[in-house]
Amino acid sequence: MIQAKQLCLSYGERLAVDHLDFTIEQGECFGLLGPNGAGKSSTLACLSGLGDGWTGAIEVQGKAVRPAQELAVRRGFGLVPQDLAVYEEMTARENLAFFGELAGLNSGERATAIDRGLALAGLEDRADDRVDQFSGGMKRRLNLAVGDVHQPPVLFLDEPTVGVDPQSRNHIFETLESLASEGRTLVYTTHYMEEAERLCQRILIMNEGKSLGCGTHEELTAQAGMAAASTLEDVFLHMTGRSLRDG
Amino acid sequence: MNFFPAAIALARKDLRLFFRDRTGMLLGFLLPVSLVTIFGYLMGLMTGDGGSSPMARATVWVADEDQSESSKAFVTLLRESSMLRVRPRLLEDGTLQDEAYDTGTLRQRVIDGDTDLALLIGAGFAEAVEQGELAPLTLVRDPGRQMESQLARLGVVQALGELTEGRVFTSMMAKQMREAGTPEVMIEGMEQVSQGQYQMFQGVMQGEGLVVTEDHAPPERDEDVSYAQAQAVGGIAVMMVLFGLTAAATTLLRERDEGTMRRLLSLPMPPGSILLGKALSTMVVGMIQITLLFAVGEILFGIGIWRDPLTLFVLMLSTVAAASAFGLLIASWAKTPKQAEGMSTLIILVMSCLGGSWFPLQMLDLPAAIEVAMRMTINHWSVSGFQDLFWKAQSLGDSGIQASVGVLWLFTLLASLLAHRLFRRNYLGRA
Repeated sequence: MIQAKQLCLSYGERLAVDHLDFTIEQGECFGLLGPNGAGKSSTLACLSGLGDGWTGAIEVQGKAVRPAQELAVRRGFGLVPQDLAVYEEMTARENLAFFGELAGLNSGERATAIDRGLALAGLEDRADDRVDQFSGGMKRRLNLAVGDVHQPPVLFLDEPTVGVDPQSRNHIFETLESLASEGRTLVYTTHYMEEAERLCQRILIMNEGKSLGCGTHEELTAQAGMAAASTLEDVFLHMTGRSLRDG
Repeated sequence: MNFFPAAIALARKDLRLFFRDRTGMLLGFLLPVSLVTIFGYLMGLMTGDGGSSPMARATVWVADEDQSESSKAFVTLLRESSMLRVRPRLLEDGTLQDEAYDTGTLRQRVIDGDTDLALLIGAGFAEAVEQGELAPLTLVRDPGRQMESQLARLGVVQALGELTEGRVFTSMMAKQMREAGTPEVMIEGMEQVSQGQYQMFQGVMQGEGLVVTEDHAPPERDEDVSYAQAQAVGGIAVMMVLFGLTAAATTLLRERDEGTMRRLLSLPMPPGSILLGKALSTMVVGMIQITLLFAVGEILFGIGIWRDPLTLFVLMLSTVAAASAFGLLIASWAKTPKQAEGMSTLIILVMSCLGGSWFPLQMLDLPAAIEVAMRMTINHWSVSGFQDLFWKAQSLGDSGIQASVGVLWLFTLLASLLAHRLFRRNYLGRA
């Protein structure tokens, strides 16, 4: 279980995360939905112990999270950053092996993890090709596989489908559904309604660092005071407004 | 994963990436090797005597209007002078490589700024020499080139003395004595001391007579070792290692910009191991680079790397550690690669200039403030250490090398601590 209480994070004068309270159950796929600059990635950085200077309290699997936290806490989660956080001059296999080693897998575990990661990314045939020869979709799939290389109980995913073709996007969805079916906890940021609706049991809608509502589609619709037939996009636009966001 | 295994895994990854980019790697090694070769060669040429003497030569264009046997012999003596580089050049087959000018043209070339120094041998030179009179010689110069001008004067006087076997000095003295109203009977006695004066002049020119010279070169030093070339090899090696390792360390910024830093920081390993991993990989690259540079120095200039390999290894390691820590400090401080590039270039060039990487500044009488600034640089301690090893033939047991090694490691420690602090602030805080 992940629990955040009165979570705040500021960059100078700007409050990027503004007193967030939420709980994510074990095995749940939880979505952080919001427009650009809503504070989704900042929230994820706090949850994964990366951000510095946040206040409030976070617990992951019953252990308190703090910046530069204990290794034991970090062993419990994996991060799939929004950037393609893999080494382009290395092959897919080398990337999985390298991050697997740093995640603490021994050589036997690593061999298994590499095969599993390549299958997860659908890159068995391109295992020994350099990443800079891959398409955007292949890189995104590898990015996901690397984050999951040590099969952590909790996986933080920061917009993992940005800029990919429909086939790769579908592959990533299927992969995430498969991980969720294994009982893994997924925390997923996106600004695509259909992704949130397809994958997430519950969604936290954010805007300007604040929580505007949290729950299932139905619960959010009720919180917004809208008709039961409203789409998630209607609810989202109702809550966050229709003005343009430039990050 | 624990601190050291994680750092080693990270260093292995960085080295794999470094060696995979073969063109980049070759260029990274080729540039310093080229600079060491060129600087070493030029220093050897500039300082003469295989680089062991700081004396430079002055280039003097000569026009001989007299064209007598005597004037030709005088020009030959000028060509043999260790202080002069006479133009037009004389080739081995006796022909001139450059165009020979008459006195009027040569004077005009100095006036026009095409030539800095010209010696005009006037008509009647042979006759004047024969009769023991002052020879018609004119040095035409750009007054801004004082050092070359003084060298040229010395060279001319020395050649003239040799040509006349010292009679020229008698003539000069007689002329001055007559002008001062000295009785003729005393002037006539001058010829008797002429030879003695000439011998004294020769002795003064060779540093004998007035000063007793004792030579004490370290017995262990290889005779082929040149002071200037050892300085050039050590100096350029340190500068290029600083540039190379700073560039390697700034891949830390690349990790941040490309997102891999975020992932690394989320992994179950101490964040400090990222910095240590980077330090280890840059040190391996630095050791390869500096070894290659000294090998080139040995092959081309015989700087003497085999005399004391242990001391050389310790000095190289100390230099590379300090350069690596400097690189990490810059990388941890900078917010963008451009900032890192600009700041490191500025600091490395200033340190190289002050620290003796370009020129042996210790030969100059520097103001106290510059002396202090010089001692604040990595280059100074490193180059001093290498000169103590190669030129003074010192070893680890000698205080000079101990001081160099000690200061370099102190710098490494302080820079590493500061880099770690900045890394935590700028990388962990902004992930």
